[in-house]
Amino acid sequence: MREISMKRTRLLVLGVACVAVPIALSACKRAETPPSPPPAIAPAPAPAPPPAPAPFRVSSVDVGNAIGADKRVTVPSATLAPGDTIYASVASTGAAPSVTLVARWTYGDGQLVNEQSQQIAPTGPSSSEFHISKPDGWPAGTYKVEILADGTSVASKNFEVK
Amino acid sequence: MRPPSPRCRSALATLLDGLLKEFAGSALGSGQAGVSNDQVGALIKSVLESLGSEGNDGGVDGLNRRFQQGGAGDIFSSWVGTGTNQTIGPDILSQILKGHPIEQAPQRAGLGGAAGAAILAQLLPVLIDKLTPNGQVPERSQLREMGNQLARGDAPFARPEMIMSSGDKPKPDFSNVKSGASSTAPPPVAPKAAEPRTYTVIAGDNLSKIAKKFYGDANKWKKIFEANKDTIKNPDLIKVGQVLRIPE
Repeated sequence: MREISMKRTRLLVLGVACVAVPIALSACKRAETPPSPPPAIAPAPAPAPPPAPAPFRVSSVDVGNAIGADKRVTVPSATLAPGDTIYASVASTGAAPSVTLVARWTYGDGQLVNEQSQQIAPTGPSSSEFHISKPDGWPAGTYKVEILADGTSVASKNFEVK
Repeated sequence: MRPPSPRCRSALATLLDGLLKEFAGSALGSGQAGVSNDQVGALIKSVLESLGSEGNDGGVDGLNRRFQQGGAGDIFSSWVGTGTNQTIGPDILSQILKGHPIEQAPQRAGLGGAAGAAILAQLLPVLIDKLTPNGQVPERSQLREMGNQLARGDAPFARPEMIMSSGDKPKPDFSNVKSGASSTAPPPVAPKAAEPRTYTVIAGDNLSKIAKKFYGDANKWKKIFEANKDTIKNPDLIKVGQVLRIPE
């Protein structure tokens, strides 16, 4: 009888142990501190925006009777011959999506000789040329070429034909 | 008609010759001020007549008094004297001449308004200068006579076009000038034309249904039909798989 009682007690203990151990394990697991998150990686600095392009600006105008492949007057001259084709090269810097350049050529006290325009979209230093010719030759006298960018006078050059 | 006195003829010739030289090449002289030679000739005549009028304001001396009273005596003296002529603005001149016979001279010459005042402000200094060589002031009768001669055109150099043209030199003709331009910079990029909308017909479609789908209005089916007339002969007959242009 006592043996039976002992057996029961042993079984009870074993049963309790079976239930208790997983609970204890489970309790231990719950108590564990969660693993520390991996160290935060600092976001890479955003790439610096490209510097804003310089605004368009006409830097100079030259007059002569010939230009090179770079659209620049090869030999700037203030005196030209009646039979010359007359070139005005306009050097500019800066960028713009669209600029209208106008060359207004006048004679003497302001008589209009010719007006020519061209549209450009410069992305940096550039050179633009305008040229005029007269089959029967230029009358002797003083002339002026005025350069306008989007309607504003930005440069001019006087020259003489003789 | 009484012939002009030799003295008057000579004075007018000198005056007009002086004006000719003074205006040659100027905007007024080359006709660029938008004023005809006849108008400027008429203005000179009208000013001479006004100066020749009797009364307190008449004569060069009367005009001088006006300028003195208007605080512009120095300017007037520079015109009479042998030095450089001082300029005068049209607004100040109009104030000084208020009520003076010369005030109406531009209008009588057909040059009213601001343009007339501006031309008078250019003309008067030179005219007074030429009328008073070495500071000598002409008689009123002499001024009237010059005006009359100018009107008749019987004095040497008395034709307005002789006064106001820039001499015999014709303006150069630039009508045959050829021009061109180029640049190292590229031309601006033209904005791309919008892609036309299209729709592929599926089973069960008709133009009204498609119009409802795109425009929210089935009655606009004609718009689609018009845009696809080259491929749709009968608006009630469209084929599955047919690609239609859908206008905006």
